[in-house]
Amino acid sequence: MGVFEAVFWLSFFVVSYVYVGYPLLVAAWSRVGRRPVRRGPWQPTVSLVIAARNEHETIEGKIDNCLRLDYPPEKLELVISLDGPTDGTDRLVVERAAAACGSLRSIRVVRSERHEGKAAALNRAVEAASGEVLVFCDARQRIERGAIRELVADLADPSVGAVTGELLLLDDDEREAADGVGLYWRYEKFLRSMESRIHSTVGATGALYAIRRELFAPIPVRAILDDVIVPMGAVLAGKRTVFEPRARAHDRVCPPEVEFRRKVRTLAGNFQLLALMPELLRPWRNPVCVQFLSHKVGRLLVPHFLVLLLASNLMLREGFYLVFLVGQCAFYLLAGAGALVRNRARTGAVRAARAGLGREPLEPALLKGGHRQP
Amino acid sequence: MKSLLLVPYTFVLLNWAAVAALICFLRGRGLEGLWTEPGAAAPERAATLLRPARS
Repeated sequence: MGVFEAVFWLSFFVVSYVYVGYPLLVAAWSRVGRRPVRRGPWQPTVSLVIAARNEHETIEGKIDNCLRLDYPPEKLELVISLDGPTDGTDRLVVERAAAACGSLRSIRVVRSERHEGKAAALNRAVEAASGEVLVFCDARQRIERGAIRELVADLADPSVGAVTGELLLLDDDEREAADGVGLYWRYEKFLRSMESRIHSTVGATGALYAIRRELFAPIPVRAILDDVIVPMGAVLAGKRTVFEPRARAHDRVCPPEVEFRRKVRTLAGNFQLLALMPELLRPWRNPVCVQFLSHKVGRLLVPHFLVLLLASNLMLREGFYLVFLVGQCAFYLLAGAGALVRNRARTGAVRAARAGLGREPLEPALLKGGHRQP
Repeated sequence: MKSLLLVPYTFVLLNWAAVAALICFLRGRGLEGLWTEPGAAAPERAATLLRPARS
Protein backbone atom coordinates (compact mmCIF):
# COMPACT_ATOMS: atom_id res chain seq x y z
CA MET A 1 0.00 0.00 0.00
CA GLY A 2 1.37 3.36 -1.01
CA VAL A 3 1.52 6.52 1.04
CA PHE A 4 -1.53 8.05 -0.66
CA GLU A 5 -3.59 4.93 -0.11
CA ALA A 6 -2.58 4.85 3.57
CA VAL A 7 -3.53 8.53 3.99
CA PHE A 8 -6.79 7.95 2.12
CA TRP A 9 -7.89 5.02 4.27
CA LEU A 10 -6.78 6.62 7.54
CA SER A 11 -8.75 9.77 6.65
CA PHE A 12 -11.73 7.72 5.51
CA PHE A 13 -11.69 5.80 8.79
CA VAL A 14 -11.50 8.92 10.99
CA VAL A 15 -14.26 10.81 9.14
CA SER A 16 -16.61 7.84 8.90
CA TYR A 17 -15.96 6.81 12.53
CA VAL A 18 -16.76 10.26 13.90
CA TYR A 19 -19.95 10.80 11.88
CA VAL A 20 -21.24 7.23 11.35
CA GLY A 21 -19.25 4.69 13.32
CA TYR A 22 -19.47 6.45 16.66
CA PRO A 23 -23.27 7.03 16.52
CA LEU A 24 -23.72 3.33 15.63
CA LEU A 25 -21.35 2.37 18.45
CA VAL A 26 -23.19 4.38 21.11
CA ALA A 27 -26.57 3.20 19.79
CA ALA A 28 -25.47 -0.44 20.16
CA TRP A 29 -23.67 0.24 23.46
CA SER A 30 -26.77 1.91 24.92
CA ARG A 31 -28.80 -1.25 24.19
CA VAL A 32 -26.49 -3.59 26.07
CA GLY A 33 -25.15 -1.22 28.70
CA ARG A 34 -28.13 0.96 29.48
CA ARG A 35 -28.14 2.53 32.96
CA PRO A 36 -31.64 3.82 33.69
CA VAL A 37 -32.07 6.91 35.85
CA ARG A 38 -34.09 6.26 39.01
CA ARG A 39 -36.33 9.32 38.88
CA GLY A 40 -38.29 10.36 41.92
CA PRO A 41 -40.56 13.09 43.29
CA TRP A 42 -37.75 15.09 44.92
CA GLN A 43 -38.41 18.80 45.51
CA PRO A 44 -35.20 20.49 46.64
CA THR A 45 -34.70 24.24 46.83
CA VAL A 46 -33.65 25.44 43.40
CA SER A 47 -31.69 28.51 42.34
CA LEU A 48 -32.36 29.48 38.76
CA VAL A 49 -29.22 31.25 37.56
CA ILE A 50 -29.10 33.62 34.59
CA ALA A 51 -26.00 35.52 33.48
CA ALA A 52 -26.87 38.51 31.33
CA ARG A 53 -25.04 41.40 29.75
CA ASN A 54 -26.93 43.47 27.20
CA GLU A 55 -30.27 41.67 27.15
CA HIS A 56 -32.55 44.67 26.97
CA GLU A 57 -34.84 42.95 24.48
CA THR A 58 -35.14 39.59 26.18
CA ILE A 59 -34.66 39.89 29.92
CA GLU A 60 -38.18 40.95 30.89
CA GLY A 61 -39.69 38.08 28.93
CA LYS A 62 -37.22 35.74 30.56
CA ILE A 63 -38.11 36.87 34.08
CA ASP A 64 -41.81 36.45 33.28
CA ASN A 65 -41.03 33.00 31.91
CA CYS A 66 -39.26 32.09 35.18
CA LEU A 67 -42.18 33.36 37.26
CA ARG A 68 -44.57 31.04 35.40
CA LEU A 69 -42.59 27.85 36.00
CA ASP A 70 -44.42 24.93 37.57
CA TYR A 71 -42.36 24.54 40.74
CA PRO A 72 -43.26 25.41 44.36
CA PRO A 73 -42.49 29.16 44.56
CA GLU A 74 -41.30 28.85 48.16
CA LYS A 75 -38.55 26.55 46.89
CA LEU A 76 -37.57 28.49 43.81
CA GLU A 77 -35.08 31.34 43.76
CA LEU A 78 -34.09 33.48 40.79
CA VAL A 79 -30.53 34.84 40.65
CA ILE A 80 -29.65 37.22 37.84
CA SER A 81 -26.01 38.16 37.41
CA LEU A 82 -25.48 41.31 35.38
CA ASP A 83 -22.15 41.48 33.62
CA GLY A 84 -21.52 45.20 33.17
CA PRO A 85 -24.58 45.94 31.01
CA THR A 86 -24.58 49.14 28.97
CA ASP A 87 -28.03 49.05 27.39
CA GLY A 88 -30.25 49.53 30.44
CA THR A 89 -30.70 45.83 31.17
CA ASP A 90 -29.84 46.47 34.83
CA ARG A 91 -32.66 49.01 35.21
CA LEU A 92 -35.18 46.66 33.60
CA VAL A 93 -34.09 43.77 35.82
CA VAL A 94 -34.35 45.80 39.03
CA GLU A 95 -37.80 47.13 38.09
CA ARG A 96 -39.12 43.73 37.09
CA ALA A 97 -37.61 42.04 40.16
CA ALA A 98 -39.19 44.64 42.45
CA ALA A 99 -42.57 44.12 40.77
CA ALA A 100 -42.29 40.35 41.15
CA CYS A 101 -41.11 40.49 44.76
CA GLY A 102 -42.91 37.82 46.78
CA SER A 103 -43.69 35.64 43.76
CA LEU A 104 -40.75 33.39 44.49
CA ARG A 105 -38.64 32.42 47.49
CA SER A 106 -36.32 35.25 46.53
CA ILE A 107 -35.11 37.19 43.53
CA ARG A 108 -31.49 38.25 43.77
CA VAL A 109 -29.67 40.55 41.40
CA VAL A 110 -25.88 40.72 41.46
CA ARG A 111 -24.05 43.19 39.29
CA SER A 112 -20.53 43.80 38.04
CA GLU A 113 -19.68 47.34 36.97
CA ARG A 114 -17.41 46.11 34.21
CA HIS A 115 -17.82 43.34 31.66
CA GLU A 116 -15.84 40.37 32.94
CA GLY A 117 -17.32 37.53 30.93
CA LYS A 118 -20.00 34.90 31.43
CA ALA A 119 -17.90 32.60 33.61
CA ALA A 120 -17.20 35.35 36.15
CA ALA A 121 -20.88 36.35 36.10
CA LEU A 122 -21.97 32.77 36.78
CA ASN A 123 -19.47 32.44 39.62
CA ARG A 124 -20.87 35.59 41.24
CA ALA A 125 -24.42 34.33 40.83
CA VAL A 126 -23.62 30.98 42.43
CA GLU A 127 -21.98 32.73 45.39
CA ALA A 128 -25.27 34.55 45.95
CA ALA A 129 -27.45 31.48 45.34
CA SER A 130 -28.80 29.42 48.22
CA GLY A 131 -30.54 26.50 46.49
CA GLU A 132 -29.60 22.85 46.86
CA VAL A 133 -29.77 22.59 43.09
CA LEU A 134 -28.48 25.15 40.61
CA VAL A 135 -30.28 25.46 37.29
CA PHE A 136 -28.45 27.47 34.64
CA CYS A 137 -30.15 29.02 31.66
CA ASP A 138 -29.58 31.77 29.11
CA ALA A 139 -31.58 34.97 28.87
CA ARG A 140 -33.07 34.42 25.45
CA GLN A 141 -34.52 30.91 25.32
CA ARG A 142 -37.88 30.19 26.89
CA ILE A 143 -38.25 27.28 29.27
CA GLU A 144 -41.32 25.04 29.33
CA ARG A 145 -43.39 25.24 32.52
CA GLY A 146 -42.54 21.80 33.87
CA ALA A 147 -38.83 21.87 32.97
CA ILE A 148 -37.49 22.37 36.52
CA ARG A 149 -39.56 19.49 37.89
CA GLU A 150 -38.27 17.23 35.13
CA LEU A 151 -34.64 18.20 35.79
CA VAL A 152 -34.75 17.67 39.56
CA ALA A 153 -36.66 14.37 39.18
CA ASP A 154 -33.49 12.96 37.58
CA LEU A 155 -31.39 14.35 40.44
CA ALA A 156 -33.41 12.18 42.85
CA ASP A 157 -31.08 9.42 41.65
CA PRO A 158 -27.99 9.81 43.87
CA SER A 159 -25.68 8.66 41.06
CA VAL A 160 -26.75 11.64 38.93
CA GLY A 161 -24.84 14.87 39.54
CA ALA A 162 -26.01 17.02 36.65
CA VAL A 163 -28.86 17.00 34.14
CA THR A 164 -29.08 18.71 30.79
CA GLY A 165 -32.40 19.67 29.25
CA GLU A 166 -33.34 19.57 25.60
CA LEU A 167 -33.14 22.63 23.37
CA LEU A 168 -35.75 22.65 20.60
CA LEU A 169 -34.83 24.77 17.60
CA LEU A 170 -38.05 25.96 16.00
CA ASP A 171 -38.58 27.19 12.45
CA ASP A 172 -40.99 29.93 11.34
CA ASP A 173 -43.90 27.47 11.53
CA GLU A 174 -43.13 26.77 15.21
CA ARG A 175 -42.09 23.22 14.33
CA GLU A 176 -38.76 21.67 15.18
CA ALA A 177 -36.38 22.64 12.37
CA ALA A 178 -35.31 19.75 10.15
CA ASP A 179 -33.00 21.23 7.53
CA GLY A 180 -29.40 22.39 7.70
CA VAL A 181 -28.66 23.53 11.25
CA GLY A 182 -31.87 21.94 12.58
CA LEU A 183 -30.89 18.56 11.20
CA TYR A 184 -27.40 18.89 12.65
CA TRP A 185 -28.84 19.74 16.06
CA ARG A 186 -31.16 16.71 15.97
CA TYR A 187 -28.13 14.53 15.23
CA GLU A 188 -26.34 16.08 18.22
CA LYS A 189 -29.27 15.36 20.50
CA PHE A 190 -29.40 11.75 19.35
CA LEU A 191 -25.75 11.37 20.37
CA ARG A 192 -26.41 12.99 23.76
CA SER A 193 -29.36 10.75 24.38
CA MET A 194 -27.34 7.60 23.65
CA GLU A 195 -24.36 8.80 25.69
CA SER A 196 -26.67 9.58 28.60
CA ARG A 197 -28.09 6.05 28.57
CA ILE A 198 -24.61 4.56 28.80
CA HIS A 199 -23.23 6.90 31.48
CA SER A 200 -23.05 10.63 30.78
CA THR A 201 -23.29 13.19 28.03
CA VAL A 202 -20.06 15.06 27.33
CA GLY A 203 -21.54 18.47 28.04
CA ALA A 204 -24.88 20.16 28.49
CA THR A 205 -26.94 22.73 26.65
CA GLY A 206 -26.32 26.22 28.00
CA ALA A 207 -30.03 26.95 27.55
CA LEU A 208 -30.98 24.66 30.44
CA TYR A 209 -28.97 22.46 32.75
CA ALA A 210 -28.90 21.64 36.44
CA ILE A 211 -26.24 20.53 38.91
CA ARG A 212 -26.16 19.70 42.60
CA ARG A 213 -24.84 22.68 44.49
CA GLU A 214 -22.05 20.70 46.21
CA LEU A 215 -20.65 19.62 42.83
CA PHE A 216 -20.29 23.12 41.44
CA ALA A 217 -16.76 24.51 41.45
CA PRO A 218 -15.90 28.05 40.32
CA ILE A 219 -15.49 28.24 36.56
CA PRO A 220 -12.11 29.58 35.32
CA VAL A 221 -12.69 33.24 34.56
CA ARG A 222 -11.85 33.06 30.88
CA ALA A 223 -13.56 29.76 30.17
CA ILE A 224 -15.79 29.73 27.10
CA LEU A 225 -17.75 26.54 27.66
CA ASP A 226 -19.30 26.70 31.12
CA ASP A 227 -21.89 24.21 29.88
CA VAL A 228 -19.19 21.61 29.31
CA ILE A 229 -16.85 22.46 32.20
CA VAL A 230 -19.58 22.38 34.88
CA PRO A 231 -21.18 19.03 33.92
CA MET A 232 -17.82 17.40 33.18
CA GLY A 233 -16.70 18.50 36.65
CA ALA A 234 -19.60 16.41 37.99
CA VAL A 235 -18.50 13.44 35.87
CA LEU A 236 -14.91 13.72 37.11
CA ALA A 237 -16.27 13.84 40.66
CA GLY A 238 -17.80 10.39 40.09
CA LYS A 239 -21.38 11.33 39.17
CA ARG A 240 -23.38 11.07 35.97
CA THR A 241 -24.56 13.89 33.71
CA VAL A 242 -27.74 12.77 32.02
CA PHE A 243 -29.91 14.09 29.22
CA GLU A 244 -33.56 14.74 30.09
CA PRO A 245 -35.68 15.27 26.95
CA ARG A 246 -38.77 16.12 29.04
CA ALA A 247 -37.08 19.31 30.30
CA ARG A 248 -37.30 21.55 27.27
CA ALA A 249 -36.24 25.04 26.27
CA HIS A 250 -37.19 26.68 22.97
CA ASP A 251 -35.22 28.84 20.57
CA ARG A 252 -35.37 29.91 16.93
CA VAL A 253 -33.21 28.04 14.46
CA CYS A 254 -30.56 30.34 13.01
CA PRO A 255 -29.03 30.57 9.53
CA PRO A 256 -25.88 28.45 8.92
CA GLU A 257 -23.69 31.58 8.79
CA VAL A 258 -24.72 32.56 12.31
CA GLU A 259 -24.26 28.99 13.44
CA PHE A 260 -20.77 29.11 11.90
CA ARG A 261 -19.75 31.99 14.19
CA ARG A 262 -21.08 30.20 17.22
CA LYS A 263 -19.42 27.01 16.16
CA VAL A 264 -16.04 28.75 15.90
CA ARG A 265 -16.53 29.98 19.44
CA THR A 266 -17.66 26.59 20.72
CA LEU A 267 -14.87 24.67 19.01
CA ALA A 268 -12.27 27.18 20.20
CA GLY A 269 -13.76 26.45 23.61
CA ASN A 270 -13.11 22.76 23.05
CA PHE A 271 -9.44 23.47 22.34
CA GLN A 272 -9.36 25.58 25.50
CA LEU A 273 -11.06 22.75 27.39
CA LEU A 274 -8.21 20.37 26.52
CA ALA A 275 -5.79 22.85 28.10
CA LEU A 276 -7.97 23.53 31.15
CA MET A 277 -9.03 19.97 31.91
CA PRO A 278 -6.38 17.60 30.51
CA GLU A 279 -7.69 14.83 32.77
CA LEU A 280 -10.62 14.49 30.37
CA LEU A 281 -8.19 12.72 28.05
CA ARG A 282 -7.17 10.18 30.71
CA PRO A 283 -9.37 7.06 30.73
CA TRP A 284 -8.47 6.29 34.35
CA ARG A 285 -9.83 9.69 35.41
CA ASN A 286 -12.66 10.24 32.95
CA PRO A 287 -15.28 7.45 32.80
CA VAL A 288 -16.58 8.84 29.50
CA CYS A 289 -13.17 9.25 27.89
CA VAL A 290 -14.13 7.22 24.78
CA GLN A 291 -17.21 9.39 24.29
CA PHE A 292 -15.22 12.57 24.88
CA LEU A 293 -12.54 11.58 22.36
CA SER A 294 -15.05 10.41 19.77
CA HIS A 295 -17.56 13.22 20.13
CA LYS A 296 -15.55 16.30 21.08
CA VAL A 297 -11.97 15.66 19.98
CA GLY A 298 -13.10 13.83 16.83
CA ARG A 299 -14.99 16.91 15.65
CA LEU A 300 -11.81 18.95 15.97
CA LEU A 301 -9.90 16.48 13.82
CA VAL A 302 -12.42 15.74 11.07
CA PRO A 303 -11.95 18.88 8.92
CA HIS A 304 -8.23 18.20 8.59
CA PHE A 305 -8.92 14.61 7.60
CA LEU A 306 -11.55 15.77 5.09
CA VAL A 307 -8.84 17.82 3.37
CA LEU A 308 -6.45 14.83 3.45
CA LEU A 309 -9.20 12.58 2.10
CA LEU A 310 -9.76 14.82 -0.90
CA ALA A 311 -6.05 15.46 -1.48
CA SER A 312 -5.10 11.78 -1.33
CA ASN A 313 -8.09 10.85 -3.50
CA LEU A 314 -6.91 13.30 -6.17
CA MET A 315 -3.71 11.27 -6.37
CA LEU A 316 -5.65 8.00 -6.62
CA ARG A 317 -7.94 8.04 -9.63
CA GLU A 318 -8.54 4.42 -10.59
CA GLY A 319 -11.40 2.02 -10.02
CA PHE A 320 -13.04 2.47 -6.61
CA TYR A 321 -10.98 5.58 -5.91
CA LEU A 322 -12.30 7.26 -9.07
CA VAL A 323 -15.91 6.56 -8.06
CA PHE A 324 -15.19 7.91 -4.57
CA LEU A 325 -13.54 11.02 -6.02
CA VAL A 326 -16.59 11.71 -8.18
CA GLY A 327 -18.76 11.32 -5.07
CA GLN A 328 -16.61 13.74 -3.09
CA CYS A 329 -16.60 16.31 -5.90
CA ALA A 330 -20.39 16.01 -6.25
CA PHE A 331 -20.80 16.58 -2.51
CA TYR A 332 -18.64 19.71 -2.53
CA LEU A 333 -20.41 21.00 -5.63
CA LEU A 334 -23.72 20.59 -3.82
CA ALA A 335 -22.24 22.45 -0.86
CA GLY A 336 -21.17 25.24 -3.25
CA ALA A 337 -24.68 25.33 -4.73
CA GLY A 338 -26.04 25.55 -1.19
CA ALA A 339 -23.74 28.52 -0.55
CA LEU A 340 -25.10 30.25 -3.67
CA VAL A 341 -28.69 29.62 -2.59
CA ARG A 342 -27.97 31.03 0.87
CA ASN A 343 -26.14 34.00 -0.58
CA ARG A 344 -29.06 34.77 -2.88
CA ALA A 345 -31.52 34.49 -0.01
CA ARG A 346 -29.46 36.86 2.14
CA THR A 347 -28.94 39.38 -0.68
CA GLY A 348 -32.64 39.27 -1.51
CA ALA A 349 -33.61 39.87 2.10
CA VAL A 350 -31.25 42.85 2.43
CA ARG A 351 -32.46 44.34 -0.90
CA ALA A 352 -36.09 43.92 0.06
CA ALA A 353 -35.45 45.65 3.35
CA ARG A 354 -33.58 48.50 1.67
CA ALA A 355 -36.12 48.92 -1.12
CA GLY A 356 -39.15 49.28 0.99
CA LEU A 357 -40.57 50.54 4.13
CA GLY A 358 -37.40 52.26 5.35
CA ARG A 359 -36.49 49.27 7.45
CA GLU A 360 -33.00 48.35 8.49
CA PRO A 361 -31.36 45.55 6.46
CA LEU A 362 -32.23 42.17 7.90
CA GLU A 363 -28.69 40.92 8.14
CA PRO A 364 -27.80 42.53 11.47
CA ALA A 365 -30.94 41.05 12.93
CA LEU A 366 -30.00 37.63 11.59
CA LEU A 367 -26.66 37.87 13.30
CA LYS A 368 -28.14 38.49 16.71
CA GLY A 369 -29.12 35.92 19.28
CA GLY A 370 -29.33 32.17 18.98
CA HIS A 371 -28.20 29.21 20.93
CA ARG A 372 -24.78 27.71 21.55
CA GLN A 373 -24.02 24.06 21.12
CA PRO A 374 -21.43 22.30 23.19
CA MET B 1 -34.53 21.12 -3.07
CA LYS B 2 -33.10 24.12 -1.22
CA SER B 3 -33.28 22.18 2.02
CA LEU B 4 -31.34 19.34 0.41
CA LEU B 5 -28.60 21.73 -0.72
CA LEU B 6 -28.35 23.17 2.77
CA VAL B 7 -27.23 19.84 4.24
CA PRO B 8 -23.83 19.60 2.47
CA TYR B 9 -23.40 23.37 2.77
CA THR B 10 -24.00 23.28 6.52
CA PHE B 11 -21.74 20.24 6.89
CA VAL B 12 -18.84 21.96 5.12
CA LEU B 13 -19.41 25.26 6.90
CA LEU B 14 -19.52 23.72 10.37
CA ASN B 15 -16.42 21.64 9.67
CA TRP B 16 -14.60 24.69 8.44
CA ALA B 17 -15.49 26.26 11.79
CA ALA B 18 -13.13 23.79 13.50
CA VAL B 19 -10.25 25.05 11.36
CA ALA B 20 -11.17 28.67 12.09
CA ALA B 21 -11.42 27.80 15.79
CA LEU B 22 -7.94 26.24 15.75
CA ILE B 23 -6.51 29.34 14.08
CA CYS B 24 -8.21 31.55 16.70
CA PHE B 25 -6.95 29.34 19.50
CA LEU B 26 -3.36 29.25 18.22
CA ARG B 27 -3.33 33.01 17.71
CA GLY B 28 -4.46 33.42 21.28
CA ARG B 29 -5.34 37.07 21.16
CA GLY B 30 -8.05 36.36 18.65
CA LEU B 31 -9.91 34.56 21.40
CA GLU B 32 -9.95 37.47 23.81
CA GLY B 33 -13.23 38.78 22.50
CA LEU B 34 -14.73 35.33 22.73
CA TRP B 35 -14.70 35.21 26.50
CA THR B 36 -13.81 38.47 28.12
CA GLU B 37 -11.85 41.68 27.87
CA PRO B 38 -8.14 41.67 26.99
CA GLY B 39 -5.87 41.81 30.00
CA ALA B 40 -8.07 39.74 32.29
CA ALA B 41 -6.49 37.27 34.69
CA ALA B 42 -4.93 34.10 33.27
CA PRO B 43 -7.09 30.98 33.23
CA GLU B 44 -7.06 28.85 36.33
CA ARG B 45 -5.92 25.28 36.06
CA ALA B 46 -8.25 22.36 36.15
CA ALA B 47 -7.42 21.52 39.75
CA THR B 48 -9.43 24.51 40.85
CA LEU B 49 -12.36 23.30 38.79
CA LEU B 50 -12.72 20.20 40.85
CA ARG B 51 -12.65 21.87 44.22
CA PRO B 52 -16.21 22.14 45.50
CA ALA B 53 -17.29 25.70 46.14
CA ARG B 54 -19.13 24.64 49.24
CA SER B 55 -18.85 21.37 51.08
